[in-house]
Amino acid sequence: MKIRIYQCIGLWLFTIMGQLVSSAQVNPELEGGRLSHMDTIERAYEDLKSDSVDTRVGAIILLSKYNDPDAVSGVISGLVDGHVRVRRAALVSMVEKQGVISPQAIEPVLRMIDDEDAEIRRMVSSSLGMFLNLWNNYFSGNAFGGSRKNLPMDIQQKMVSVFLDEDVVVRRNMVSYFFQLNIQMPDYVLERLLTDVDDRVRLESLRLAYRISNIDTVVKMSDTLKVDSYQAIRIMFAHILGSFSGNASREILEEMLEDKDPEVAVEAELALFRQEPTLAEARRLLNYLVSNRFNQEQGESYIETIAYLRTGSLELLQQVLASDNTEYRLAALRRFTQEALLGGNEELLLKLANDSSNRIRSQVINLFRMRREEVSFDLVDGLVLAKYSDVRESSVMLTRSLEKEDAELLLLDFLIDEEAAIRVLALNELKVSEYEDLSKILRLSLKDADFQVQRQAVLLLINLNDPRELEYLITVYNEEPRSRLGSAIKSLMSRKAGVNL
Amino acid sequence: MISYKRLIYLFCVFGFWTATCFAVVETSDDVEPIAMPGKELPYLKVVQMVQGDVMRRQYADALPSLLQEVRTKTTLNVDPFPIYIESFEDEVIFKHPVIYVNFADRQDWSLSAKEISNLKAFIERGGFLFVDAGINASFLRGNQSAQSHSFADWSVTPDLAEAFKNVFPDKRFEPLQRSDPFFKSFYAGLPDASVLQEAIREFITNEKWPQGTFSTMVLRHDDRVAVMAMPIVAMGWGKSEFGQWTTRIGFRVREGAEGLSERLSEAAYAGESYEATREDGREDIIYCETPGMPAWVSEPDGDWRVFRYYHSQEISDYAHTFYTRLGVNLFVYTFSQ
Repeated sequence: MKIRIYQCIGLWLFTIMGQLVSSAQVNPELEGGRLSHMDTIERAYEDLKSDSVDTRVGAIILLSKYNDPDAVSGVISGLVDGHVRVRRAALVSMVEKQGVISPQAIEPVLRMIDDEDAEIRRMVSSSLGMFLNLWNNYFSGNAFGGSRKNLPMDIQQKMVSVFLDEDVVVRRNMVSYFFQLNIQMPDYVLERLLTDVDDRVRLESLRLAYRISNIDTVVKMSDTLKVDSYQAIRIMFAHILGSFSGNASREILEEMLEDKDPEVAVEAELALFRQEPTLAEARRLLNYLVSNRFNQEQGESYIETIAYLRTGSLELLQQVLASDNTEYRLAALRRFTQEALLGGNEELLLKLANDSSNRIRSQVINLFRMRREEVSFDLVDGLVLAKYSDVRESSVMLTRSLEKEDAELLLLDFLIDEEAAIRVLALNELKVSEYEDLSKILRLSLKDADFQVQRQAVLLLINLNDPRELEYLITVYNEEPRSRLGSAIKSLMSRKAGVNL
Repeated sequence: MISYKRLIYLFCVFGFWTATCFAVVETSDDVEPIAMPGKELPYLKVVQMVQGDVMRRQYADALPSLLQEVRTKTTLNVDPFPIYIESFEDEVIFKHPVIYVNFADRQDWSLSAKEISNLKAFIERGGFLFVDAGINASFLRGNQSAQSHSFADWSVTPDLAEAFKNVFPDKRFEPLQRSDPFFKSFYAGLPDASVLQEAIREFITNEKWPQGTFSTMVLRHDDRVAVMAMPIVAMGWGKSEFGQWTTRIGFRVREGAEGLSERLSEAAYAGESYEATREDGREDIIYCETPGMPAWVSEPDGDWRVFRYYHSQEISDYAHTFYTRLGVNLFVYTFSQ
């Protein structure tokens, strides 16, 4: 009896032990003797309370590896730690998370923009684009109500002050991200930036001043800007002045004509022309374009300006189109989108349609499409022999705006093009035009060297709904039923005409 | 009314069409030539192997951008536009000395019999093969991360090792010493690292890329490097037509802190752990919390460190500059060895 009792107790103990062992095996968070996620985070939280900076840094770094809300909160708490190393570690962790930062985390990060540590200010300012995008995504309002939320006032004030940061990298970053900040820039800040010791900061600030149309501040700073040591700034300054008419800017530009750098002087000359464009001045400056005295940007700015002349612009633009500079030809061509077709100068149009630059050709083709009603028979007749197939292909459709007979004559020409795709298009257009001898053409096209043309001819012949043509197709099929054409006839006759061969 | 003159003309030409079957190849003179002052027509060509659709190759603008850089910065008169082949069976490989292939541009690395004999002959005749992303740490294998994580493992991916066992059964890939002239063949050392944050500068200059070196495995033939493999470097080469880098690169940095080693050794992780080979042959064990994203590492000397990911414009520009310099070194080395 005793033995049985001991046996039962032994069995019970064995069972309990077995259950304990198996429950330890199924707990996935204790695999390999490690802590669970919860315990790991709890221990890191304990470490965050430590007096040791290293321990707090370690805790932040460890917490940054987890996406649990508690772990993220721990990292956020590090952003306001008293020690710079902990704040840096926390900030790196937030930047590391990139697009998965919660909205609550963005404000504390942005508040670090005026941290006493320059490296932190650099990190925040260089990541402003990402954080502001997230801010705008979270707080941009929506169609069902709500409105866009601006940055809190204290952050806005911090941002303004950091434009004048002692660290040049921070200032560069701030100027670059100004438009995403959606804040007002006081004049005194802009003035200080325009006299910054760093070339890039001055240049970007001048560009910024132009974009926010703060011309008064720019003119006010003219004494320093017109003699700035950085050539790019003087060029941009002259360019900006050219966009605003007025005696003050004109006088400054006239002074800048004497600049020791020829490129700056030319920019000033161009700016004066842009302020008051005249035909005489445009003709004089055309020589600058032809003789490459303009840089690329100046040349394009000149072309843009001559398009606004009341008279003579066509003549000048035609001369620009003869330039060997692709960008200039393209810029001139774009000016014609609102004009007539180059005054009917077909010779020039055909030359452009055969231009080696595909950008020029596609611009010409677009022009033809937009001004289809002005396209003449002679012009399309010339395009039939265009050098590039993209032009010839687009020209097929231009026949639609011509008289029927003229269109058909040209389509017959397209029908002998070396490109099969163009021959197919021409066949289709002859069908649309209801060409009198279409069936003859289609029968001939069955002997075309290209299968796509043959197949299209079969399809169009079937679509004529003429029993004689169906009969003809059957005859062709019977001659060579196993040829590729024969297969196409059999397939299309079955599908389109319900005739099984 | 129909013009019979035109119709007769048409019939005549139709006769010509039916009698002659010909193909017209559009010349590519609409492509604007790249300004390359002071050089004759390019005569050094690089062959790039892409299995399948060339248009879907990895980092499509990378190699042309790098070759343009080589052409601009060195005396090598190299053509920026590679010649594409689909497999090593293509005998065009015997006309040019260098083949570039991104490991991911070939799905199956089992070589056909003709490829094996061709590659053997190519190498025996002095050819050089560079396999980009031919080093893939185990946590990157089989996913797209291998194209965006340049992890310094020191062993070639097993498929590549297996493939070359068939070409040269008695040869194995070996680490390229950091003192090898390759790393100084045009650029020596690292770009100026002062633009980098203090926190990462030390790691980059001392551990990640010391003296401008990089984890590189090579297979030698007759005492010369014939095949070279690296973790992905093409991600740092591509430039847009406006001259801007087309990718954004961050840094993965190993960091430690007092007491962190102990915490990491017991910390939970939801992903997997992997082994990676160090330069001296010992193993790191990498732990992931998120799949494919190393979180921390157990190092053979008993230390545990965390991987931190840094991103900024300066870092991205720096990485591009380094990878491009490494790429220039690669082609100067291969064309001049």
